[in-house]
Amino acid sequence: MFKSAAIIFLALLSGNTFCQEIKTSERIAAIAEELAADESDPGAADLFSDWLFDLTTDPVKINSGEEKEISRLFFLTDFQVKILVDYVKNSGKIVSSYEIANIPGFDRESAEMMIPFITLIEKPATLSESTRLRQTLLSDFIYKNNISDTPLLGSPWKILTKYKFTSGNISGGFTGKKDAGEKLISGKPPLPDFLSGYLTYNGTGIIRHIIIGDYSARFGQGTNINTGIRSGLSLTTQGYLTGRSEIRPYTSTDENNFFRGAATQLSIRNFDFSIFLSVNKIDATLNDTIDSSNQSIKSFYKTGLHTTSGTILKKDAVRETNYGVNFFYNFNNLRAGIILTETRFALPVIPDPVEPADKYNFTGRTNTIYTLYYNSLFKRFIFFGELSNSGGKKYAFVQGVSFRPADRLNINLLYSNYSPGYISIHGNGPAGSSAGNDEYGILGNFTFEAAKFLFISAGSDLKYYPWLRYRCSAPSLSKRHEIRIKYLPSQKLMFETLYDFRLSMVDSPDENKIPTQINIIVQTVKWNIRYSPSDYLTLSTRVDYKIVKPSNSKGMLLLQDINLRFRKFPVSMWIRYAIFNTGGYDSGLYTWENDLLNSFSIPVLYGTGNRAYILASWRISDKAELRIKYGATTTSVINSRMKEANEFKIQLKIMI
Amino acid sequence: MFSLQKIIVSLFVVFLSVKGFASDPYGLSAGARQTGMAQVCVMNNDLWSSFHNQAGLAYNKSFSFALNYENRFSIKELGTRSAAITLRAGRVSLGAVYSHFGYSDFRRQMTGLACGMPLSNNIAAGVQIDYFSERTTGEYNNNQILTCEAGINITAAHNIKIGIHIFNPLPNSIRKSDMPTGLRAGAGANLSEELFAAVETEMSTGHNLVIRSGFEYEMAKKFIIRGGFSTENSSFCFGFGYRAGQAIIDFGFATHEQLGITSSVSIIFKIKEE
Repeated sequence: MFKSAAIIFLALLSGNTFCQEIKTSERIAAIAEELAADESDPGAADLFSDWLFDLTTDPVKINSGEEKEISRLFFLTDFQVKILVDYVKNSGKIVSSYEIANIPGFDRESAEMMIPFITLIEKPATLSESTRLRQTLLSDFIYKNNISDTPLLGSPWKILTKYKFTSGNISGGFTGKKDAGEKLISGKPPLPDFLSGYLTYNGTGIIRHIIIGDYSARFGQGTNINTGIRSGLSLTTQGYLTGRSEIRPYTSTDENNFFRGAATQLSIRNFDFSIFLSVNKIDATLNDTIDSSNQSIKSFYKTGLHTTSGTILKKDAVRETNYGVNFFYNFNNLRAGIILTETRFALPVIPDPVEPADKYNFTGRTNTIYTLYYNSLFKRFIFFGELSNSGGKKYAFVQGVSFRPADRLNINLLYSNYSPGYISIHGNGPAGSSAGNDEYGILGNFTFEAAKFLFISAGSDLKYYPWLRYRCSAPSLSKRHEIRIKYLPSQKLMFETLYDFRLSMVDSPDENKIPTQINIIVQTVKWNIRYSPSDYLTLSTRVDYKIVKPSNSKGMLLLQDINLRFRKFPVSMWIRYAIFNTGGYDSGLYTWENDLLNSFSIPVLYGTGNRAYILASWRISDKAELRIKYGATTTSVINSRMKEANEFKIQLKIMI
Repeated sequence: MFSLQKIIVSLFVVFLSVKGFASDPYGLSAGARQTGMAQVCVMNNDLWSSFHNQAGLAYNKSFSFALNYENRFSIKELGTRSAAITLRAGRVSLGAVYSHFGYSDFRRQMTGLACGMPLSNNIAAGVQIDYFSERTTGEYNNNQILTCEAGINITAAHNIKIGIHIFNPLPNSIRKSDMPTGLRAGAGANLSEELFAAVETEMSTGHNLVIRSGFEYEMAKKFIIRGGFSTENSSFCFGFGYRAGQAIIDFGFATHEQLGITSSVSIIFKIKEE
């Protein structure tokens, strides 16, 4: 009996397994983990997944040879974009994705990172093909059993629906979302808690882009306007360091950081002109006043959760108007632009109470910013910079250089200075924090192919804060150093080691005296081995060790991933088992997980316990895909009793 | 009034749970070969694979049985007796194991039925169902747990082996016990015909990460020496073994930074080889 059962189990495993061919690049996973760990920008990881999903649904036509098209691969450096453009123009079409790894400036890792997001087809074969209506519908249903102990207004399910259509130059779509605990339909008129939509036209003539509805925008380096991800994603991960101006339809689920209205981009020869207008209602907490005519904004409410009557009062509490223009001129190797934007709130912002650390935070109704920016290619250097001013002596200054002395070496240097009082409501400049003001610093990094198959990258980031910050009542500094060594001896095998050092200053916990500052030092070491024993199976083992001083809290993790796909059925599976033991939340470890399409899951594992999940993807036909995920996190609580948090996710994607 | 027996049993149970004494009491050690290599064995294929990674059974081609006795810190109450048997049945190899730890007032017994089979030329997998029984004297509750474990072995190259093993992976809601789960992964290489070296890492719920390394060297024909180190309790290990016809006899010793030496002896009989 036992023998029969065992044989059936093993035969099922053996007969039907073959390799998971779509491997998420470790670099993408590393970026995602880093974004998730950045508590100052909680929506960044979601946005990152949205951008990647956009690329999967509309892959970059690498053989187009157009810089604008190739630069949609936002994780590439400007050098890499330029090299690809030149390569296609000079050497002809790329015939295989693996050819990219042999182009100077690229390696197998870069190529692997790009493969899921590119197509070698230059353009549709026929006119009817290019104008054919293509539609994509994505629906997620997510249940977690640990959301809250307090009574919530709605069901514990999170429901998300995204729809997109494209026909020739016209595309459109909508996103509807209900978070766990929110009502499915609410308000007048009755609608999902979050509903977003857009209609867009993409042209090749003077009118390059028109968007009506919801959109995001980024101009220059982003110190003025950037509702996307901040530049300089990772210390040891290159790419997206220099600025690229764009307006794009908003398809993400952050309920506040986007524009609603209209935007257009015009282009005449070397001259680009963008203009946008947005009138949107955003969430906020209002100050209590007897007289409603004296209402003011106490703080902005950014989580997007409306699960209780108190949080529903914050929903769409304030009208926000944004408008601006961007002029941009391309002088061959020098590109320069001017940005002017203004943000207006219907109610004044009057923080209450005003903590000393909040002295330079935004107050009032209006914020106007003027910006000059440029980037320039000179031999093996790319220089880029930006200067923004929000009135008086409130400015932001960014200056960087990207240097490529050899095909196998890339060096970047970035200086940033955000003066006290510089405010950009929708800005997200490089090396800044989401608060974005009153700090200056310098960042440097390099990537180096030290030997065949051996890649070394390292970076250092120093920041100084001349004024007080949250939990730090004195001027302070922070440091971050990182080194990553990667060895790829064959297509099947990858070894990676990462060391990360972070220092930050906070007030001493002793409450009975004037606070002094102590250094919090966090050191993390990660080892990762990925091995594909055959084309049918990929195994990945990871070990993390983290230590936090002065608390001496330690965190450690052993994680095993198995990716496989059934041969007889169009089914892929991702299985993970991880065991962790950390001294507390401060030594918790972020672990990127495969998840539903257009979604990342990056839980922070802390305490003592284990985390396991199984994700199955069934490609029902060329037009439909079903994904199901079950995950369980077991943690030890009082008296070593175990507490389990489960999650169940199901997703249906239809493409017609 | 506490009886002397209860006090002894209480101390014993507390002593078992002290960090640094043993990482995971359910992660059983068996085989003097494994002891001599600091338990670096998740990638190995031998009769004791039922205790370490059942995928290793897949390459067994004989009807064999083995006995092991481990004397922890020279305290007879902490002794472990283990037995294992394997047989070939077509494509698969089946195994049965038994382990007994403790003495008359506290004993932990484990019985397991295992199965391993090759999935392809270079991949093998195995599963095992375990039944744990813990008995104490007096008014303490006895404990019975049914669980499972599984593993895979991969031959990455002609001289490189990789092993991954998971113990007790069932969700807490299903298994209804607080038994720790464990994960092991390691790789080993035959650096020459005589020398095998390996490294592995292990973690169990509620315990620190452990890294181990070990080697095995055929010093003379049929005579093998072993050594290893484990970060758990900074344990240095050594051992030796001798192949005598159908029998293999091994001795292993492991140090503990505070509690002394654990010694282990095992013998394997290969009755019938395919």
